[in-house]
Amino acid sequence: MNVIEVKNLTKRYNHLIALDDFCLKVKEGEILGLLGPNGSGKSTCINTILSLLKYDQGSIKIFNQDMTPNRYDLKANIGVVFQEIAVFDELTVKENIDYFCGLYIKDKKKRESYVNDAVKLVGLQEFLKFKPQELSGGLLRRLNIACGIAHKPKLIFLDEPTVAVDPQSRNHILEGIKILNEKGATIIYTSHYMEEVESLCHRIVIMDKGKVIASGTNDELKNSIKLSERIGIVLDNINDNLINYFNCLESVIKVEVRDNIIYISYKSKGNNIGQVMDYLNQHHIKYDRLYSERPTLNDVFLELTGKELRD
Amino acid sequence: MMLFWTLLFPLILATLFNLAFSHLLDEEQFINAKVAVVEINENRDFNNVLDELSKDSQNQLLDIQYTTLDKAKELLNNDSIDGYLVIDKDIELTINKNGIAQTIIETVVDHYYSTLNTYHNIYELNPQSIVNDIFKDANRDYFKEENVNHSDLTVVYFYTLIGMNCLFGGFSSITLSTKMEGNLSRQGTRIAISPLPKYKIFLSTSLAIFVVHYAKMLVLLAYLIFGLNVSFGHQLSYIMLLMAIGSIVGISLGNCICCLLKTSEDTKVSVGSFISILCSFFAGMMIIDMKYLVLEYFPLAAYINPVSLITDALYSLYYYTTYDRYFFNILCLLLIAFVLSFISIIGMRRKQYDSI
Amino acid sequence: MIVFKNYLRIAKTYIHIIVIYSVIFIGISVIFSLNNSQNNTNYIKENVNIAFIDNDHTQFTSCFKDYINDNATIIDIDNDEESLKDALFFRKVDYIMIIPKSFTNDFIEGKDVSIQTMQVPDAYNAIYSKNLMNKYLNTAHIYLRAGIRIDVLSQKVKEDLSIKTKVHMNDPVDNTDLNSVASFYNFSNYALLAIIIVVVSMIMVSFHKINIRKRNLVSALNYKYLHFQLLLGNVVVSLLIWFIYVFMSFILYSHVMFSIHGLLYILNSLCLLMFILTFSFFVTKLTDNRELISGISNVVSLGCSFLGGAFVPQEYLGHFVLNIAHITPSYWFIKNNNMIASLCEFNFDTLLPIISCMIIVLLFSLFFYILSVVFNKMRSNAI
Repeated sequence: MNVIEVKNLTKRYNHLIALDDFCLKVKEGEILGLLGPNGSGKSTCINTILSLLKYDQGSIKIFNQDMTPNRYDLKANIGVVFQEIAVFDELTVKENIDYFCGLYIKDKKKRESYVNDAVKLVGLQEFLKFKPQELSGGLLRRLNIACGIAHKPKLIFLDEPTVAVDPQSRNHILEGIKILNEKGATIIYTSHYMEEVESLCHRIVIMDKGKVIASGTNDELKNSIKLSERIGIVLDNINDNLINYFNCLESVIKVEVRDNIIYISYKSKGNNIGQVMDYLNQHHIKYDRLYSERPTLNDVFLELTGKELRD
Repeated sequence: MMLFWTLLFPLILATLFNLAFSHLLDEEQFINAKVAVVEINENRDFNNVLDELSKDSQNQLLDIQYTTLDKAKELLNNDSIDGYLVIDKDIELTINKNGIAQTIIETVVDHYYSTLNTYHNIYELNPQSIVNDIFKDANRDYFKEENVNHSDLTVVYFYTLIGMNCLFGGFSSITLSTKMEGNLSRQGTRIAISPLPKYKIFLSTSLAIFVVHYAKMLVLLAYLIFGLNVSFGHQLSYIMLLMAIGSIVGISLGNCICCLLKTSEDTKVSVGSFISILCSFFAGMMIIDMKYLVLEYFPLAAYINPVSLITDALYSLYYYTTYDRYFFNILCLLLIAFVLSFISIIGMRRKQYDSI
Repeated sequence: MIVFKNYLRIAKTYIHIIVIYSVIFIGISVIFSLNNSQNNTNYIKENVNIAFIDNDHTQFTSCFKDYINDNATIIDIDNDEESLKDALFFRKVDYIMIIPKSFTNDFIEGKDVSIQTMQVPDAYNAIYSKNLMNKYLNTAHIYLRAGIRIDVLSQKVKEDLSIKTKVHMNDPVDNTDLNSVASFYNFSNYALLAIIIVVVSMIMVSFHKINIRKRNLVSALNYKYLHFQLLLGNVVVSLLIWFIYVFMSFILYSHVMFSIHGLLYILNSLCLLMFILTFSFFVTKLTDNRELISGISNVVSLGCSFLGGAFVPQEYLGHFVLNIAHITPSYWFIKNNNMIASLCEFNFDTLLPIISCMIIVLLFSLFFYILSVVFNKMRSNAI
């Protein structure tokens, strides 16, 4: 079943088109990554789907039903973790989670156990009586997340949840998200960080200027572009002959030099790295390091739009 | 935008004060007393008096209706009239309470009786003189008000307003000081690690706030003079000096609150605003006698209350031709400003915090 | 009722501010009403302090001084400029009269004489005694024109002016305490407005932070129900503050409060509380900015209180001002308090005007409630 079905969604802010004929389908149980540079419309997309914003055209269906601001039955199964920290400064960690859970769960006993589960999930057991001002950035993010998912919703929106977070907290958060998904939640995950999206998400949608540029699994996306492999050679001496040689090779798309590294982009897979090593050894060219990497989502985005994902 | 609103508020208050106070002493604007008259025996002379005073003119004092005794009692019980007169052998007045209206009616009857008595006395002593128009021009006002120092009477009501507004200027300093404290905001932390000495930053920020706030005070003054036609006489320059120093006190107070209180910005602004109102109250804004009560029983409190000092200085400009008292108040204000600023700077010198 | 519970939790964190504000404002109200109980709205003669500087020293002027002494209090002051100004400045006197040299002679000859006065600006109770003194001189003038000698007429004038009308006071009920209670509650107009707007806005600002609002909006809680719970929280906190105020009035004036008058005062102030509630709710919908809220609170509380007659009694305010004051609920509230103070009988006719004023105040609160709902919708659409 499609948990979310968005068709031809258009939203304008005066002359600026924030969402341009945007379409999205999210299957039950999947983790969907929403990727795009700043200003591409990710937050607008989420806010509109949640009925926080009005839209000009299109249709939005959640759990197969039309989504409007008054559909409290649908909202009861949705959890949102916004990009900005949204907690009460005057309340402790536990009181904050209790409040936001209480917006969904009325039964006190049930809520008590939900709150404890949420605390365990994000790892804030030792900080229950702390106020938000006393928490570090990472812990605050964890609290933010706990507030959004405490009521065990079936559909969760996470808008850049790991911004400015220390690695330990980040891992904790990502692990927690995986657990939530294993327990049956569908997750929409927006982020700048390609590595997270690559490792976490089943399917990825890339956005730019309010439109969907590409969508598919990690592999599908990477296979869809010309670039299939990039080889980097760290050298002391880079001369033009070397560059020309590589440029003339058949499956090479382009050769770039940055600092003292030559990047060779190949369009087809093959024994590229072997060939390069042979050539270097034959010509007795000394190199520091030689490595090969698969294309990243940034490459996908670059090829599709000519821009970098992270600007 | 904020600037606009914080500028507007004192102007609105000034307008309201002006409305409330400007005609306070004008007798003409007292509302006519409503009287019911019950005639048991005719008294033509008194009727004439009543008619004269209830004519629709500048001097109208009474609204009269002639009724029966029962109706009059009912009207009084309903509070539809202020009192009723029963004209029999004597004239008797019945009222519910003691207020201006009642006293006016009483005065009218007293006046009638006394004039009647005067007439009888003169008739006894020198009957021929009654032929002349001796009762003409019998309503002169023998008192001439000397306008002290050529200032408008109404300026006084604005003194506390000016004093209060000097203090309110302190609040922009709270907001800005918060931004400068290392453990209160990230900008503050940045400033704390910068090589600039704290006092330089403190002075330059305070100067900026002062310029803005003093400009607002000048706008208020201009509005009072040109918009509401309040005349401050030839002492304008002294008033402007006083306002400047008052603003400095307000800003130092704001800085001090900021340094001493370790709570959120909102709470600080509330506390600051609250202190201003408290100071204004003890300077006599709502009950004028408060000022003198404090002077009599807690004189020290009067000399550390900035609003009280400012109003004192303004009053002394109003009453006295010499400036001794004025400068004394200025000195006290400067001292207070200095002490408050000193406390703020000491409070800010801490370079290490318990927690950030 | 999680939102309501949360509201109270947050209110608890601000308890120290609430307490300080309430204590101080109520303290000021007490001082105000005690002060007014002696200094009530009577347009009365005894309270005036006058300095009488006689530069003429004749029998006439000294009889005049005696007459003044019967109707006001004469304070002795040295006849130099410094002392005179000091006396005014420190309010030892309400005004100073200076009889010029040869006043009596000029007066007898019918010349255009006048007595110089200097007064404090707001001595409105001095008007009455001025009238009396003018009457004395005018009567003396009549006698002079009738050819009566000056040494004879003083006695006659005094006699004439000592005739007092017989005045019956309708109700033997001691009015003073009722007036004090009325003053107390009149001042409450200012105090309650100032305290409640600040307290309510402090708590509501937390709920209005855009992020919290977004979370509230996407939640499963019906939006109207949420709004209702917030309002309920406001009601509870405001009622608490109001209750402390009323409790104070019971302590100070228990014999008045335990009567129908007291009940009416309480009902009247409840109506005002409704208005203050909806108004503060409305203010928090307008803006989140602390300084702005502080400014609005000041202007509204002070402005309404001055115009409505909380500090300066309504009797002394002019037509024009009172007409403008009609658009503030404070005017109706204070008018009602004053009417309650002068109630002697309790029947439909006497109670009707009081109930009408209460309804008017309630209408004001309805108006602001509607406004706040409208603003709320507008704001939520602007996310």
